[in-house]
Amino acid sequence: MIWSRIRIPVVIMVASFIWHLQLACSTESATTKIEPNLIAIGAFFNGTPLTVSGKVGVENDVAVVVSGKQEELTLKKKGKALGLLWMNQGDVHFKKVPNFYILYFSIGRMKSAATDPNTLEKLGIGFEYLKNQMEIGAPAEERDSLADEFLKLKQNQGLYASHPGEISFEQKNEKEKSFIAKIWIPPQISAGEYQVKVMEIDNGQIVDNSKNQLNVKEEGIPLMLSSLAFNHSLLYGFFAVLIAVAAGLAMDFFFGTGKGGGAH
Amino acid sequence: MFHLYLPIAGNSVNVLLIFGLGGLVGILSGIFGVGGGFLMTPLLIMIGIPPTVAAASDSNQIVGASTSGTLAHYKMGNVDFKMGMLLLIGGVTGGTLGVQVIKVLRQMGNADFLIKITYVLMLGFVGSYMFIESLQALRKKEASATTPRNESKYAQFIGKLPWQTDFEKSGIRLSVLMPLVLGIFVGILAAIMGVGGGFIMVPVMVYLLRMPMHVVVGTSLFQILFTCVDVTIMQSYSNHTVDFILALILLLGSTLGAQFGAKISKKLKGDQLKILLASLVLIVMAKMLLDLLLTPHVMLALIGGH
Repeated sequence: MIWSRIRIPVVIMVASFIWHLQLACSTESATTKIEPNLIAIGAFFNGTPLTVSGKVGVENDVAVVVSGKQEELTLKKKGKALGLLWMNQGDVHFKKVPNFYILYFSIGRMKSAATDPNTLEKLGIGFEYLKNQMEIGAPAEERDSLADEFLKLKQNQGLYASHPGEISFEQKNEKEKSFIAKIWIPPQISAGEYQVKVMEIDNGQIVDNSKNQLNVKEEGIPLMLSSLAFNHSLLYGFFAVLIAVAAGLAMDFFFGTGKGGGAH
Repeated sequence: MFHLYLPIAGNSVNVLLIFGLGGLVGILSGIFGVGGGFLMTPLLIMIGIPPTVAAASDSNQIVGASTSGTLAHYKMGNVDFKMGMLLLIGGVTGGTLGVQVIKVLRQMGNADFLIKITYVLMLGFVGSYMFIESLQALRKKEASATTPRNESKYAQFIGKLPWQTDFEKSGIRLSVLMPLVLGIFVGILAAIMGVGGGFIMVPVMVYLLRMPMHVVVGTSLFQILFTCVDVTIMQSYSNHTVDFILALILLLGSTLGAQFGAKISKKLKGDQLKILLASLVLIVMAKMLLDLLLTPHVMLALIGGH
């Protein structure tokens, strides 16, 4: 009896709570727009632009991070043998490192960020932050230099990058300005889920942030070949050999010399 | 423009650049009877291909280049199938043994150091010996037509071995044990050093089996073909490191290059070929030595590759 009386107000209250909750989530990402949120790796994929745009306070700075999943990696460490010859000397294990990390940030009021890595580190972004987060299976005295070398290697591979000052603004009114970050996603990106984090920074403090998902998928020939290579690996191997032999035979047929004739 | 995405390497490449690289290595392969992995793998790593994928995809393209090169040399009468098969049997046995040897070496520690130093010293020795020997031979030919070779102790020894048989294509008579044992030796070395073995096999055929240089090139290619078929299938099956798109672009270039290489090889005299190969071996040695001496740009490296 009591339930039938309070049923309608309770349903209204619960519905209103859920609606408010949803509204709170959507406002976080409503300030920014990510385009596209799905990247397809096709046969001719050679990297692609990703546009992140939105509105922030007129005095504020913006930072955008595109990051991939955390991974564990084993790398070879180079060292000097006999004090003269450089070669691989043992393995080093790295933990808690993202497989992809690209940072774009503006340096309007955050000028120190361009030169002082600690400014970004306090915000939980940038290479200095990654350095402090990663776990390295090496003695403490080697940790710092190994972390630096790790970042260098990842940048050489095109998987990590930092772009200071590469966000453009346009003033909308006295309170707001719009921003646009044209992020270059390199062809080295692998299929998977990525996070695009956008931060509004006021005087060294994050005042607003939003997290968006970016999906990267293989399609067409790359999808077909990688599924063949991983799911039917023996067949893939035979297929690769057959095509290579056929190409060799074809080249001999079209460009080869006729039978006969000796070398001596 | 002209870019293709490589699904296994996880990167995109310029098709024309890869085609050109394939062509260049194919020409070398056709001339000298080597696979060219020593040149191709580091170049691929340099343009952003992971080391393991670079080495495995290179084996796949060598299958194409050596098919093309073997056929071209076969038509010129330069492939000794009997010798090739015996070396191959030895090579496969040696390769299997070599994989076990390297496990033991790794456990002993400092294996990489020993391997690299041995490789550099061996390339240096083989390259210098070939260079000097073929230079002397070229000079002697200019002075007098032929010089009879003295029966060395080595020749007397191999003449006494059992199961002597004729190798018509090479025009020599040898014990079947010779190619089998030398094949095993090269197979072990190739497996330990992670290379195809062309650079070791060619001098072994020339100096220890005493085969004519042109037949060496054709027979070496024939043998490399089978080795690389095995490596391609094994790498695809166990490590998923063969990028077929990469191999395909490379082999379109290398199969064409191998045809031109075989034609160039035909025009060169045996000693000229030897001296050129000796120079190439010495260049590779110098490059490896520089890699060891110069401070690397990054102190960490991905696992795999040569």
